[in-house]
Amino acid sequence: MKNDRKEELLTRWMDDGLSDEELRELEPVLDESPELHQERADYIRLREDLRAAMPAEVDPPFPDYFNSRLGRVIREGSRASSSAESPRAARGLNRLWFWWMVPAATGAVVFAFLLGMKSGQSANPAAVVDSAAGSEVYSPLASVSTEVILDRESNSTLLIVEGLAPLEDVDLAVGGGFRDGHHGYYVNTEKVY
Amino acid sequence: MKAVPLFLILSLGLPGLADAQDPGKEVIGQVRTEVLFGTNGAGSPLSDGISSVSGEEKVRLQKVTKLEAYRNFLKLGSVEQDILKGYKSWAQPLRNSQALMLTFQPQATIKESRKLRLDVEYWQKSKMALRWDRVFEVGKKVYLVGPAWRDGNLIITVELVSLGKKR
Repeated sequence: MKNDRKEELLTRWMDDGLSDEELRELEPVLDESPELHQERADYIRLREDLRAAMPAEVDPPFPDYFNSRLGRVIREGSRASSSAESPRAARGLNRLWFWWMVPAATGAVVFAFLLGMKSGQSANPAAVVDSAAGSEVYSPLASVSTEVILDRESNSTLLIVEGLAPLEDVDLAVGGGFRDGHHGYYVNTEKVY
Repeated sequence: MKAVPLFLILSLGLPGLADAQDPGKEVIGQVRTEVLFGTNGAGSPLSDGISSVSGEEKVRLQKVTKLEAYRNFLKLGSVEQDILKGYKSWAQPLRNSQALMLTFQPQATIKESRKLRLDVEYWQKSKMALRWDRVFEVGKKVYLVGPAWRDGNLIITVELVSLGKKR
């Protein structure tokens, strides 16, 4: 049996997705490697644990922003992997990754699915209002739109924000005269998140 | 007699020790935040504490369609502060006003030479209005052309002044 076909059948076998005929096709492989049964049992246990541990609905703080950043990480990851080692080493690595990543990938798919269900209901579909190379802008306010301008001459970046509510004198405390500000609180994010 | 020094050691020494043991308090850079005001007014009625921006900066700002009509660009306030590795830092560039604030949260995993990826949030009147995730480079200013005020427009600038501890 060709490796591609074997891997496809094994993946679907892990997810209980084989027909009787396909199962018969895979049987010689399973007889050759009986340890696969234990790996499958471990995987199913992990999958059930994940299902039990994860809530039916996830409400992330900023789903669109999260998705855009996830997309960026995936893009960066694929760039890094495309510049990886020799093809032979990569093939060996792929085989290892295949077995180790099956449970993790399943967990990621379940999480992405749950996240997608929630994100799909977003009241503000254009919440990720703009993005430039290596930077993303997000606003929870439906009225806000942005434009990023790269001024190559001065090598600076301008973010034009439209739709913000105007400020009044009382907001800026003009009566006291303007003086340089001061830093506010430092919030420990490692403990918060 | 021994109780007093022991109490002093505990009360003064332990918090300091806790700070020293918190790796999140490592200073990884300094950021300067400024509030500018583009206007056709002279700015003199705005009282003391304001100054004009440099001619170079004025030209840069006037290139933006939204700002090209303004003749004057004034600096209303600024603040320079440390960025701590594991903390979100709040900046209040106008001393007496909390209507306009920014937060900076470093993403230490993507730190390059003379660059730092920061999550910047712009808060207006206690509401988060914008979050911007971008790589900041030392000495390169970023402008956020923000809300209208009086006859003009407020502009918030963010600049990574330096990386590491302040020297």
